[in-house]
Amino acid sequence: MSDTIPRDTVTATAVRFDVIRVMRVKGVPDEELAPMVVAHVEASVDGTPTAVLANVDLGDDDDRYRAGGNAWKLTEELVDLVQGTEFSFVDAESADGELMKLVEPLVEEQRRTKDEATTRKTRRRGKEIERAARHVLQGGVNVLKGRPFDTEPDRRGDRIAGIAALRIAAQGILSGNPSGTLTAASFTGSWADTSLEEFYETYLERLGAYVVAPTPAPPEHAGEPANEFPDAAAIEPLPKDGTKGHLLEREALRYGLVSTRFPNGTFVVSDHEGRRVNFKWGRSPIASGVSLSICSYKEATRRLLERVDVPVPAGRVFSVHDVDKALDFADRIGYPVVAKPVAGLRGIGVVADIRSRESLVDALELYRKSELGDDDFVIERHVPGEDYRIVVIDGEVVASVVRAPASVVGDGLHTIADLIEYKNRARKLNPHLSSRLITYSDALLYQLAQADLSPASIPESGVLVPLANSANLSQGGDSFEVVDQLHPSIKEVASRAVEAVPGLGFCGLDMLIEDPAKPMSEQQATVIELNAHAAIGSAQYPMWGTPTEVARLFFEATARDYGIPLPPERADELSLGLEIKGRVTGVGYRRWLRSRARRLGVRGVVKNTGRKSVSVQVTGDADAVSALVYLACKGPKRSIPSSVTTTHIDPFEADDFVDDRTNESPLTRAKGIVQRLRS
Amino acid sequence: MTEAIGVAGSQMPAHLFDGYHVHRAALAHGLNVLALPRQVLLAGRQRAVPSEVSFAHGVPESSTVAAVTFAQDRRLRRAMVERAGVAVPKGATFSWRTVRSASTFAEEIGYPVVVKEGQGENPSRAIRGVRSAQGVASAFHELRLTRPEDRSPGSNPLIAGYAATRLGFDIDDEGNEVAPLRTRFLVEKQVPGQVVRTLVCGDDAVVSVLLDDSTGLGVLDVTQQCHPRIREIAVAATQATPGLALGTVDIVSDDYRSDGGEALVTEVSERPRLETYVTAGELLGEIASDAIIRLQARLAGFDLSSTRTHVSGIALVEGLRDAEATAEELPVRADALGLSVQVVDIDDVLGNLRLSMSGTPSTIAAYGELLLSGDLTTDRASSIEFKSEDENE
Repeated sequence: MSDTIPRDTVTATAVRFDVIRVMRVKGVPDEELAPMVVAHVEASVDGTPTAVLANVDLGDDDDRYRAGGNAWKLTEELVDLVQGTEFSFVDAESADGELMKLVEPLVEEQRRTKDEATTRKTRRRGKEIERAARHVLQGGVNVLKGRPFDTEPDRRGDRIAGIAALRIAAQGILSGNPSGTLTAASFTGSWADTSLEEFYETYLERLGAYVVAPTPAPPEHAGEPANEFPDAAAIEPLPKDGTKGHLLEREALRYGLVSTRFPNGTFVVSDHEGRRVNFKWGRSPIASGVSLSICSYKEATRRLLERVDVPVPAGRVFSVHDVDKALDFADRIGYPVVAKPVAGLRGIGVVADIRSRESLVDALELYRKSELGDDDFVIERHVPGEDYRIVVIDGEVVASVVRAPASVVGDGLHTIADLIEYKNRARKLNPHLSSRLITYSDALLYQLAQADLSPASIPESGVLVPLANSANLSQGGDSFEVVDQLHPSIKEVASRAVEAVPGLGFCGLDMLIEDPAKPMSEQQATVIELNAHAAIGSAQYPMWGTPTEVARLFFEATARDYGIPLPPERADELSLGLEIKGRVTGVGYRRWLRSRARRLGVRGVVKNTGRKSVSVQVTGDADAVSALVYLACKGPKRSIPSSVTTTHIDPFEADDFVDDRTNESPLTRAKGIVQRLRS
Repeated sequence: MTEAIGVAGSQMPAHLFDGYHVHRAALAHGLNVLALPRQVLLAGRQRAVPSEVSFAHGVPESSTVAAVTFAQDRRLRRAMVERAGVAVPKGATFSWRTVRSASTFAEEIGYPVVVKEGQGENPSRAIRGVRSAQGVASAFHELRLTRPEDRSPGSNPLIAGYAATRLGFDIDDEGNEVAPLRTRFLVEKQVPGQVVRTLVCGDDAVVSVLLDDSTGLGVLDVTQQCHPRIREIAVAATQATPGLALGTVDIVSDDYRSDGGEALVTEVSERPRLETYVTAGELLGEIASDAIIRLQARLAGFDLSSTRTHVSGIALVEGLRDAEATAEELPVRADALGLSVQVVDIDDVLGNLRLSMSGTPSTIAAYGELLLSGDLTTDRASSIEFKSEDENE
């Protein structure tokens, strides 16, 4: 290595890296705060514990480092390899050399795997020359832009930010100095003895990618790991609330129906006889407008349920001009109480467990600030119990998911921040929870502060640390499917409640239950809310417990209601033809769709068929193909698809998903190439 | 739009008319009812709960949430109607961001145009007679404006109970509260001609009225005179959306009595809007609401009994703020309506009253709806359950 590294001469030193954290810190352009990658290393140096925090800046115009996908993977692999290994370093330079010796094989392996995959693809397509030409062309463009020719710098181990940070940390540890900087041709950075506590305090909100070695054990519940779902990969590319508007269309397609999709989560499916069913987001075709009018108004729900002997918390409605009356009422029914909007949604403005008149005054101020803060509100008794979402379809309880506030469990070694990162990794595997990660909100920091904890605290092994005081899944809460544990009397009350509401074929009710195994008569269990929207995601994808196929049951109930006969089996593979209309040409639509199709692993072809139309033939796994149908109506930013009509076609053979431009004029193709190179 | 209509001796706010009329119809056919806030009505022959038939703002139970949502989305509703082969005026939706494209489009299709809210209550807020690009922009500007009442579905009686709550809003450069940028507006060719509004129930076109352009109210009962194609088009437009059991459809044509020229559908409302029919004929409200309740009864598998002109029974009124005080006021209000009411029982702690009532279905229904909406007394009820004590059951 020709770089000049300050030579701090040390005799052979025994170094063991005990805990390594590499974290990416996002930049804040408005405040001119640059992004960076940080390595926090706790090491044992000749038996003495030491810790340093090293950082590497990622400047905007500095293309020196890579910190993205593949580069980060390599960082994680290196960190894993290095942690716990006993090193014996002669001097700083050779120490760095030894680390790089570990890096090279990892880089080689990644390069080899990638090259193999590319070769396989190009060999199939017989376009090696075109690929080589494109490589040269892209390299030329890079040079013109003032970048290195080499298009894939992450193939060079010394260009990886996370690895550079680790190397600087190692140098820092060996130097014996509490802080210092390093400037060399291939890496520049500094280190200091900043504590983790200080680091988190300053940078918590800007944390991005995060790895720690040793890795915390995957979260588990009653000895079981979190659920994994075979359709998670297919759902991952869908936008945040994709499951809401997608799962039912998937069921319809798998059962052989055809579909027409419109923007904003809308679609209409039909059978061969022209019987049609319509959906828009969670707006159900088996719920009556009457049922929604009742369920969305808490007072109406209460009056109805009381008449069928379903327990509901005692309470009343007040207008925002009647705050004094509300306070008197709370005094009368007794604390704790809950304040919530009378026609609420998504938990907006709800304040629970209010324990005194003074707290109620504060709670109502908080309520007034919410988006529904001008509307009438309800004051009701806060009833004890855990929060269950029970799904009733056609009078039967098919799922029961209990929710618990966000939390992590300590292991005596990892910080709360470490544990949150790895809890989120498990959540990312869950199609419903992947868009509901634990975040460092004021509420979370407040919750920790209440227990005299901070993100740097290291909880004892087995200790549960609550991160929120409400069981909301959107705030990182956990979900457990427990329908088999539910006492029959509880299921009976749930069915009776739903039956009292006219025309409610699918309902997700919220109940507060102290003990799911005990009969209703032996505990306080109440119905809090009936939900007429088709809220399928939370019940279909519980974090723990045996999942129920709620979407399938919902769809089957819908088919029964609409007199649509279904085949005995759902298809596991689909071959579909899509006709997409709207602004879908000249906007990068086909390229976007092709990349999504490849990511989903489906095969077929996309082509323009007119000025405002594109057609697709696609085949593959049913979950993946139906996800593409959803995406087809989304398109890239500049596109505006107005409809996607999907029909079933005969299965066909294909190796890949391609963009068929054979009917494009040469001028259009040239324009396309130039556009792509510029972007 | 009228504010209130004199009915049964009271001034009934126009927006309560749909709920009032199905309530009246249920009582007239001898059903027992449970009336809940936001014009929800459950009814049955023996008891109100579990109900045999139910309605919300006059919308029958058989209209699904999906269907009423489609109906309140103008772009979607137009797409469904067109796909069913029913003609609509040329139109397209645009957001505030693309208001210039909207003007270009308006020029292409030719002025005058109508600009309507893309989503919301039916019939939509609309600005008619727009004749220039400036006019299009200013129509967008006006329709963009929002108010806190738009975000208070619990207390705002003008928002339907099944409507999607739209909480987002921005503040524009002038400090006005406006709908978010992505909110869409429909620009539609304003077609000259006569507008006929038809109520469709299931497969039947029940009543049709000629609308007055400027007020949007019916002025003439044309049920018998309008050409059959008007009825056919109205039924097709309603059934274009799966799950829509009832529709109030506006059709523009040169002459509603003949089948010459185009007939275009400009509105399909999921709500009856009976207040716009009764102005063309007092009995139309009864005819329409009878048809609505008959539709639902048929689906529930029973025939409605013949109507009665006098009903008496016991009403359980719940959720009053001050039962004692209201108990004093109620009989007085009843007298004004020509209704006989006696307070039988008061539970001041729970806020409940039991009343003995006797009168016509119209007056009892009006009384109940106004008490629920807070328009009868200073207090308001959370529910009213009425059980008739008819000897001729």
